[in-house]
Amino acid sequence: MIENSDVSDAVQAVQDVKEVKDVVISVNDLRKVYRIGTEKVVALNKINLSIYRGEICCILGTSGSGKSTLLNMMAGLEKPTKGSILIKGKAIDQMSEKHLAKFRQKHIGFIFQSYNLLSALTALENVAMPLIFRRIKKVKREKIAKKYLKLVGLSDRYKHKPNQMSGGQQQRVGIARAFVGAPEIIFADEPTGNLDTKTSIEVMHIMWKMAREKMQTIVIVTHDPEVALYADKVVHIRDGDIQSVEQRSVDDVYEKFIKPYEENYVPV
Amino acid sequence: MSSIDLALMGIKNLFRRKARTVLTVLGVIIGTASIVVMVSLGLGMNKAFEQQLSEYGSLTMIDIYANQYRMEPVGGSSSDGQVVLDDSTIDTIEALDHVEFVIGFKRFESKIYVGKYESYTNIKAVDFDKLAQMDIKLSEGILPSKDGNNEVLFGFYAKQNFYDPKSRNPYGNPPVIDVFNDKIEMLPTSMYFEGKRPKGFIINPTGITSETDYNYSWDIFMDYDTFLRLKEDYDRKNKTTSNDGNTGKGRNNKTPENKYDEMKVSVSDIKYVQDVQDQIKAMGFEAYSLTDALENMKQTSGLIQTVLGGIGAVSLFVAAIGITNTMVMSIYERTKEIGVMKVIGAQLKDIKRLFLFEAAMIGLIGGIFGIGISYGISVLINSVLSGMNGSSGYYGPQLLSDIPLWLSLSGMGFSTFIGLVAGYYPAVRATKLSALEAIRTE
Ligand SMILES: Nc1ncnc2c1ncn2[C@@H]1O[C@H](COP(=O)(O)OP(=O)(O)OP(=O)(O)O)[C@@H](O)[C@H]1O
Ligand SMILES: [Mg+2]
Repeated sequence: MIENSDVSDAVQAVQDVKEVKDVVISVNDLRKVYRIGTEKVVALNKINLSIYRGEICCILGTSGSGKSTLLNMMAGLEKPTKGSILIKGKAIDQMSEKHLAKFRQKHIGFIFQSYNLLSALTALENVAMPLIFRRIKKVKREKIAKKYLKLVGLSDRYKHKPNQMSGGQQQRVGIARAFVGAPEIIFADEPTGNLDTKTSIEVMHIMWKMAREKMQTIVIVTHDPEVALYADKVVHIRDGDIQSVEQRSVDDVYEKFIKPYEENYVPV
Repeated sequence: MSSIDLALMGIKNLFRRKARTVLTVLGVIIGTASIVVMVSLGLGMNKAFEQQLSEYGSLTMIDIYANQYRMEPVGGSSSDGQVVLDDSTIDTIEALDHVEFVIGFKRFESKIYVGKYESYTNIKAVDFDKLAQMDIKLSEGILPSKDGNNEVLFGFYAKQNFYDPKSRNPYGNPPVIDVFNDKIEMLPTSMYFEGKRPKGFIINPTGITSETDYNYSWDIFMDYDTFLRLKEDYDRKNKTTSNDGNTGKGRNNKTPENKYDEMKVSVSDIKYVQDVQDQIKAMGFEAYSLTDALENMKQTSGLIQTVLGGIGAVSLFVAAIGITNTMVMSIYERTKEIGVMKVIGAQLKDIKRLFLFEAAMIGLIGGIFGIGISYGISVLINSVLSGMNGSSGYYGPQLLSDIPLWLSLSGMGFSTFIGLVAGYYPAVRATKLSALEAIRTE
């Protein structure tokens, strides 16, 4: 179950501890080359990575290092040049558009840097959107959507349109929307990229709590080391290669960041 | 995505872009209205044709005329192939399938006197029992009967033929004849009398035909047997052997003669007319019906309808391009939205159906309003044009534009269909949109 031969021994040792856990995402010899005219841009060189069920995984790197490219390929939004990606054992890079859409609907949630809420819809309608595609009846889906808006602390903002909310509030709506269908995996590309430090911490806190509740797997792309503090796995990436993989215990993260935050929490 | 949610989302999207939706719908309205109005004109024309024809006579009637060339006496019997219009012909034709009855007419020259006025109006001799089956339109009175005393049916225009022979300007001032109350005297001859004229017969009109039915508005109709009796009586008293009639006793037995110079065959349904007509022609008679004319007119109006419909179709085609354009624009505008929807769980068919629905809605709404406007235009055309015709009085208030229910329904159906077709390309394009490109666009 661990095929990561390229990774350093130290990392290997840490991963061995997790042996009992299921691999949810498995990236094998992944390569992505962009061609612009005659010029080649190697966005990802040769990536091998395993992400386990319930893990909060952070992909950390500088701008242009290939983080987004990796995430997009894991979400099936882009096809690799070489290599494969297995999600829950399924080769996502081989799937047709139609199957990908079905697969995403069932198993994947997405959080965007620029929130990407539908501007014509209220917070409640935005959160309920993924449930519409799942053919859930209006009454039921609004009930579920309200529950998730409550979880992100927006129980008083159901009727607000995106342009009537702050960036932090919008991102919380985005988080509720990603979690509302209870997907096993949630991808987030720079979820705090447009937020200030205080709000970033708040958002990370919410994501951490929600994911832990149902043992959901989160993959977060960021260049902000503070965001990475919440992850139990940090993948450092540079120029299309994995530099190192840092593994922490969940309890450690809880003791160091979640508990103190909750004790000092003053709702905004 | 359930159909209701899809519909609600589609309608919301159309509402969000009110101005553009309204303008696109306007194009469809104009397209639908023009196509429907054009077709309605064609249909109205068809109706007008039929109405006009029915004024010339019934569409289920076949007319048979005496063959003029074979009228020369040949000295033989009818066995030498000569066909005549007599009672045996009536029996033969009545024996054909789908023939209801056959009626014969014969025209006799005669003179009519009312006070100091006189007129050369023909008497048409006909069996009154059969005439009763003819469904003749009357403007006044009732149909005459055999049993009455010299009863006649007066043609609408026959009462206008009178003049005063002693006047210096006999036709200048047509007298008004009170058909029902004036004493009317008939002489079964067209002879001109200098001075004193022989005594005629008093005839009693019971009704006047309608002016719209040209077949019956020019003559005076009298029962065949009654008229023959009067004519024989007249000939005996005046010792004249008529040189105009063909029923003189002397020749009656030698030559097969036409008892009638015109016969009308009533057919049970318009669809058998052609068939019966062909059979009668095969017997050697000259037979005519209005179905010939109707066929011609239908062909003409079909052509005109196609041309008019084509003009309408062009404007609907332009409207369809408008829909496609609007939907493509809409894709550019909603690129991001579509991408986001794809990433958060929309299926390809959801996206496709959403765009198709929006396009079809534009078509349907345009169709509904287009039909509404068509009705308005139709009423306008009818009132304006029938107003113009009204003064001439001939055509009467007829429909020039006619929108039956099937036309309005198929108009709406067609515009919706056009919407679907016009929306297909944009819808497929929307599904092909790369979700990644979409969410990248800032
Ligand atoms: N569509 C594309 N066509 C060509 N080159 C691309 C494309 N997408 C990404 N690249 C290149 O691939 C490399 C990695 O890009 P990527 O977006 O993954 O970086 P990133 O780590 O997410 O950076 P940032 O933190 O700025 O978002 C960059 O050099 C970029 O120029
Ligand atoms: Mg990026």
